[in-house]
Order: sequence, then C-alpha cells, then structure tokens
Amino acid sequence: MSIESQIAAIARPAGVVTADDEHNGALLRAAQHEIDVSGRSGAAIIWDGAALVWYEAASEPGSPRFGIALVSDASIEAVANAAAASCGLAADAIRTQLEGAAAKPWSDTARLTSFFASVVEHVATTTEDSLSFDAATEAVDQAYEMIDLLHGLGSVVGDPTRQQDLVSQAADDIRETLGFGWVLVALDEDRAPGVGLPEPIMFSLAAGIQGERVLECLRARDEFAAWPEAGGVRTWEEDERDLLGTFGVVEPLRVDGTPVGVVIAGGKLPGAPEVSSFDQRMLQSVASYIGPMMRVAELFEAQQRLFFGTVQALTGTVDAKDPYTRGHSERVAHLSCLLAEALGWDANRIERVRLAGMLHDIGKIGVPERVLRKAGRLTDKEFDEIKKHPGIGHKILQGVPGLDDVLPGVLSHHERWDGRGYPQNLAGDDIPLIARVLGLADTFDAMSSNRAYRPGMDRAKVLAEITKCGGSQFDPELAPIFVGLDFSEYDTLVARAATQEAYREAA
Amino acid sequence: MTQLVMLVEDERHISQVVERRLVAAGFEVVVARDGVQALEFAADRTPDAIVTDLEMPRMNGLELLAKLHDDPALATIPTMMLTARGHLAGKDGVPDDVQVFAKPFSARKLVEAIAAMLASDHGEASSSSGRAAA
Repeated sequence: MSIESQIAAIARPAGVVTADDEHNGALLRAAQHEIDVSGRSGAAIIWDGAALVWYEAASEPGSPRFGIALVSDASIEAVANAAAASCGLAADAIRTQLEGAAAKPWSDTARLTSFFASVVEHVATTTEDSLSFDAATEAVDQAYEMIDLLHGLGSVVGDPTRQQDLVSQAADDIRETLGFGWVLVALDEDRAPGVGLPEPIMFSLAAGIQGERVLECLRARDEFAAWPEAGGVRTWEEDERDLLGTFGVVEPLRVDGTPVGVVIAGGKLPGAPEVSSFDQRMLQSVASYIGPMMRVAELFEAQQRLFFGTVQALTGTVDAKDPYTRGHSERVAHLSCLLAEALGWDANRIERVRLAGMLHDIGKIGVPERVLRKAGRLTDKEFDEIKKHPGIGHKILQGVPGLDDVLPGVLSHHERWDGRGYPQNLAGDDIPLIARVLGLADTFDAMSSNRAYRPGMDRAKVLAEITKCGGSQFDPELAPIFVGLDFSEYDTLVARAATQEAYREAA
Repeated sequence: MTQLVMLVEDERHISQVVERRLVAAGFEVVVARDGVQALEFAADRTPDAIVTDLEMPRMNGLELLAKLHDDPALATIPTMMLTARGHLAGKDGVPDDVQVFAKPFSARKLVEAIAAMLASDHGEASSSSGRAAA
C-alpha cells in the first residue's frame, strides 16, 4: 500500500482533504511551496486557522509527495488567501479544493493537525525504514552472491586440474547475478589453455544475444588493440547501444601485474538494475582470481614438464647402456596403462601406472654394461647381477618425494604369481597389484622384442605363452584381460623405435 | 496455482533475502522462525515445499524433519536443508531424500534449486499417479 493511500485511508473519514499530483494539485503545490520556503520535509505548516501536513520521501526526492489540509470552520477563505499569496496560485482554485474538507472548530483542527503530523511522521519513518531495510536486504543478497562466487573460485584456484570450465562458470555467474546480456573473457592466446579455455575469447551469453555481433562491435572500438591497464564503467557510444547497452564494465586480467587479458560485461537486460559499483566489484573479484589461476596453471605445467623431462632423461640413461631395451620403458608404460584402463582405474591412478612403467627398469643403471649387452646365455653369476636391478631402482627412487605408490611397482615387477620370481619371492596377492600389471607388460614386450640372444616372437605365440602362464607366472585374473587388449598403438611405438634405430645406424 | 514455500529460518536477514527472491520468482512464502512454528503453520496450510535451517531455537531442523517424517500428511513434502558450510560432515543425520544447501549461499541458486525440486517432485507425483491409473 502506498503512503498516499495509507494516509488517505485515515484522513478521508475524518473529513480531511488530501492532495497529491493527481488530486488537488493546487493545494499540493501550495504546500510544496511552503516546504521549499521552510526547507523542511515531513513538517506541519500552520496557516492562520488551517494547517497543511506535508511529506516528501527524503531518499527519493520528488516522490512520493502529498499533503493533507485541515481547515477550521471559519477560515477556508483565509487559508486560500494565505496559500495563494505564498505560492502565487489563484486563491479560487485553492478555495475550491478546501471546500471538500469538513469544517471543524479550530480547537479540533489544532488537535487533528498534531495527530496527522504524528501519523505522517510515523508513516514517513516506517517508509524510510522499509526502504533502508529493502536496500539492506538487497546488499545482503548481493554479498551472498559474491561470497558464493568467490568460494567457488577460491576452492579451485590452487588446483590446476580442476580449473576446467571454471572461468566460463564464473562468467555465467556474473551474467546471471547482475543481469548482463553478455560477459566476455579475452586472454593472450597462449594463456587461454592454462585456465581451461579452448579459445582465447570466450562469451557467456543470455538467450538471443549473438556473441559474434558484440565481438564485431567491440573490435571496431579497438577494445582488443591493447589490454586495458585500468578497469571501470564504460559508456558506450549512441550507435553501439543496441548491442552493448548504455554502460559496460571492464576489468583487466593481470599476471604478476602485467595485463594479459580483459573481462568485459555489458548489454544489461530489461528489468536488470543499471550498472553499479557492485557490478564493478564482482568483476574485480573474479579478475583477481583468474590472474593467479593462470600463474598457478603455468607453474604447474612447468613443474610437470620438468618432472617428466627428468624421468625421460633417467630412462634414457638405461637405454644408452642397453640398446636392446631402447623404447622398452615407454612401451611398458603404454601397455600397463592399457591394462589399468581395462581394469577401470581412474585417470589419476592410470597416470601413476604410466610413471611406474617409465621407471620400472631404472635400476639397470647399476648393472654392468657387459652383462646387459652380452649376446648368448648368461652365467648364474651374471643373472644374479641382473636380478639386482629392481632393488637398485627402488633404492635410487626411494629418496624422490611423491613416488610412494610407484616404488612397489619398481621393486616387485619381476615377482611371479607362484612365488618363484625375484627379488623377494613374493607370491599371489602379496605381490602389489601395480607390480603384477607391470610384470605382464614387461614380459610381453621382452618376448616381442629382438634380444641379444634371440629374435622377437610373433604376436600369437606371445599371447599363447601369456595365457599359458596365467596362474604360474602371472595373476590368473589379469592375464586373460591382458591378452584381450588392443595392441595397435603398441605396434606403432615398436615401428617408431625401429625407424629411430635405423637413422641412428645410418648416421 | 501459486505454490507455497515455507521457509524455516531464525536469522531474519537470511529469510528476508530468500523470501525476496522466492516472491520475485512467483512463489508464495510463509516464514517460520523455528521448528515449532513451522509445524503450527504447516497444520494450518500444507506448504508445497519446505526449506529449513539446521540450527534454530526450540526445535532445530533435524528435529523438524523427524516430526514431518512422522506425520503422514507432511511426510511427502519436498524438503531442503540449509547448513553453515562444514557444519554437517556430508549429510550426517539428514535423510537421503532431503537436499542440503550450504550457507552462505547464492539466494539465486537456492531459488533455482527449490524450483527444480518442486518441478521434479511434480513430475514424480504425476508419473506415480500415471502408474496407479494403469
């Protein structure tokens, strides 16, 4: 219920005239004039023999405005004249309006004036309260949106594996929370993949908004010629407003202080609140997360590259000692991953298996070259040297942090299901699962490859051998799964190693 | 027909924010300040959905859920629980069919979730009546 109608509901039965823009406009203006003169809102104005109580909402100048007039029996003429004199309106017009009021003794008028003054004051206060309560509710609502958005960003900012889709989710959140038609994230091309963006330019669009057209318009504005140094509210040109809206918000994305991209939001939808400082704060908050996310992603990638580079360098030293095992570690890693996939392991665990495959023979660094390269049968003593490599590998890698789950694979990949393997003569389920997986892949590649002492066996024979050895050398449950794998990519790896070998020999 | 959502929440600033969003989304809203009041209101007029806080005076959210569960007239009302982040480890003590929403939340997303909950409940109700007819 509006303030006017609340007051009118109290005033009219008491025979009091109320005035607003539509009704009794002359009276309203007379009251307004008095207020302008006295400079007060919500005040009671006492003319000789009559009173006007006036209210104007302080928080919204000009609206709502109304007055009520209380008139004593003898004074309509006097009030009309006084009001007319003070505001310059025709006394007749005011008199006509006042005649609608029931005449009362002046003593009643005085009491009623103070009564209505307090009513108006009360309504005014309540209205102000509810206006500020609404504003506070709005602010709390916005704060919740902000916290929710930042919580989402904060929970993944340090975890590059979870950043996929995060930027687009943040853009959607901004657009939906603030009622923008579009939100654009643009980045230096080489940084986009780091935050999970397939393209350096990404849009979040409300239904019916065409990103290409917005993009064209922004390009024409030179918005991408150089990343902005500072953010803020933009007022778009008159002829761009169909697409961009009247105002937009721009916020640079920075890595280590250098602008590397921009977030732009615009095209406020009908009914959405106009661009405010809250919009700006939301964009700033998101931008302040995306920058560090890019940095973390870059560091993570650099660390991964360094780590795998180191692993490759390590396995390369083994290959250098034993040319017959060239590419062996990579192939064992590949086959082990295939088996792990077939077992339904998750992506993370499969990556650990790959690492174990790459590193399983690292202990051969400690085995004399003459043993590794020997053509023909090994003596028992030489074979004892070979048998040391799982233990040596385990020892080498023990000091490397974060390989706890890989070590058992390295140590036990030569154990046999029947307990006749080495170095610990483990049997059955006592052999770590990762080692049983590596053992199958290792034996398959060893049998398939040419060795110093024999040529490689053909595929059918290898698979028949593995099937036969399920339950003796191999885990009886894993062996049948292994022989069912698709070896086409393995064959590609073998062919590639052969080509490299041929080049090396030619050179 | 307008759907009635009962909001059971002792913190006025939270109920105010959610109520404002729910009304804007076209729902009718009744706010109860605790579980006791919620049961009084529900006896008077059955809400289409209940969103309740966990920590409240007199009767908390879990106690309210138990009471609702025991009343055949109220047991099937789709219900959602609001908790402070990390207050409940997983869904400790919250029945499986009650969704949990962590505070502070986006009121926008909460209202979307309430609408989705009502939509899916409606879908289930009509499909089960379809089975009954067949």
